[in-house]
Amino acid sequence: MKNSKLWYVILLVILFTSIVYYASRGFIEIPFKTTINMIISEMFGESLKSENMKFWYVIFEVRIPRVLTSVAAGASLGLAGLIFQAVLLNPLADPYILGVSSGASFGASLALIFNLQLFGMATTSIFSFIFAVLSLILTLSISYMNKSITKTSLILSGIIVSSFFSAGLSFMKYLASEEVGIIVFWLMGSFSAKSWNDFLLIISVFIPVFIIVYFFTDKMNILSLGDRNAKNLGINTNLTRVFLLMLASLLSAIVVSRSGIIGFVGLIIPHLCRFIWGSDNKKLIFYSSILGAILLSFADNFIRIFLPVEIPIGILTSLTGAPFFILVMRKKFRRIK
Amino acid sequence: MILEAKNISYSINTKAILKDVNLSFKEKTFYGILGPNGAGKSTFADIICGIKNDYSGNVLIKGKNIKSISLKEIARYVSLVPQNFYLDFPFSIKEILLMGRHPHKKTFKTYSEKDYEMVDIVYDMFDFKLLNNNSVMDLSGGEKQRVFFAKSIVQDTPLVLLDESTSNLDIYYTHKLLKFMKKQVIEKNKTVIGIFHDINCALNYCDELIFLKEGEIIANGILDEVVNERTLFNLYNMDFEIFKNNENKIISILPKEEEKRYEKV
Repeated sequence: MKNSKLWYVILLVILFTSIVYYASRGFIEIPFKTTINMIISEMFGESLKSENMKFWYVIFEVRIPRVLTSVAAGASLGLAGLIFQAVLLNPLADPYILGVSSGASFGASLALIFNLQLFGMATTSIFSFIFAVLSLILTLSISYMNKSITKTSLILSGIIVSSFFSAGLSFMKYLASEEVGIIVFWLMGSFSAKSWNDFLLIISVFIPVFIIVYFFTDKMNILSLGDRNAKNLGINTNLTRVFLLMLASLLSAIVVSRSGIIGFVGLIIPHLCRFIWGSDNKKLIFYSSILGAILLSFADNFIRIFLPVEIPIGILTSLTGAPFFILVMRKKFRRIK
Repeated sequence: MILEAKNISYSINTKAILKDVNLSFKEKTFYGILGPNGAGKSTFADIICGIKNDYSGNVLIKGKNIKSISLKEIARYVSLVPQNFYLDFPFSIKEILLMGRHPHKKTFKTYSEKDYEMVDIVYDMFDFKLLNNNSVMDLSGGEKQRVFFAKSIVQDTPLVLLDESTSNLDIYYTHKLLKFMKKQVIEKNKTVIGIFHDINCALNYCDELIFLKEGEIIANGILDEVVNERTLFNLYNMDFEIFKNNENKIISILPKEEEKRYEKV
């Protein structure tokens, strides 16, 4: 236990240092010291805004919101992926595979194309959430056969639901010949031009979900033993499972609605953490969230700082994630043999 | 009576799995349930530990109807050692054992020092330090079963259900663990209900036997009273020879000659 606390501290230090580093790097180079100074003074309420207007604006209105949004999104995807894997007893599960992201992007595109403003600024998010939950319910009900949900039926129904919403999405793209650019770019995922609002929206979902999930980690551990054993340890498996899936889909829906589809993060991060720190979900929710935040913010800032052209982040994560997925799959198949 | 099953019937898609089963179980007794495949043994086990609840009839644990208490409370009375289980996550043995304390843990509280101590004691008792401890996934089927025996000890319930729990164990561990359970029955007043396929194993350890066939009890009672050629033939549709020692105690049951087995079916 002491050991893991040390790890949390190390990871958090890495996260905060990298946030400061990212804030000082970019098209306008700001000395590292100045950045630290400005952030610390801002935190203690003595803003240096008047002293260096340009730097202040770049740090607090452009870079920090973007970096923090990617941090919050990474943490959310890491946590959501962990929940999906633990609850579905499937180390290859992630929001993307079960069609939740497809549903979410369908809902968001619907709001984008028809320019719906039913709920004001949050319309896109709410639509993507509604469709995420809808697709989750669809996936679960299709896979519910003979009073149980098997891994195979889940993955199969995930593919069905996913392709159904993808077709719907293609159809909308076809209809929206002129605005198609917005959707395409949005779907590929990006953190450019993210504001404080984006960060606050994601983090205000992430924190309560994290706290609730913390109290469910023992149950998540026991769920890994399968339904029969979990029930014999006093767990209402169906209720717990559906409840946790709702929380995870809420997380992924919020991220998709704010920054598009960022694939493979929810798959890789929990795996990596499990590989390093074992399977105890009580620790893994911390590790997955922090490591997700570190890696996604790194990927985004790598694109922003070092690449000549800004490519959508979803492309980068999928490019690096796909080979990793193959590794995991091969390892799994080898074990079964 | 620690457990009473009254008029239990269960069916899947109109096919009756259990037909009006009535049984009662005493403290400090080792029960064995025997029967051919598909007789409803595992279904019965699932019903008495609250896993299946779409049955008709009543199950009373210490006089309480299990339909009226929570799964968690049931889990403080009954623990199940399953036949086999699959695990896709690399949990360590101690992490699995700790899960056995979950029914005793208060909601929203963490596991107590006592829980961890209990895990350590059982861990040493089962000599798990000799095994590869990184991941239960890497253990063999028999080793996993030993972990689940230990988990049920950590769960510390007055009633233990063994659902063909020795099917993957070698002969040494089969007898070691069954002897251990027998000791628990005698010293700690536990009740063990074991589902067996190995009839000789059941003879060695059980005090009472229950013969289940096609969802019905065809015989139950004290070992010497129920075990005879006639009931065994009724149960499995084949002939057995019963071997007894000088004190007229049954020591072994073997199938009769190959040809005869097919004549009578």
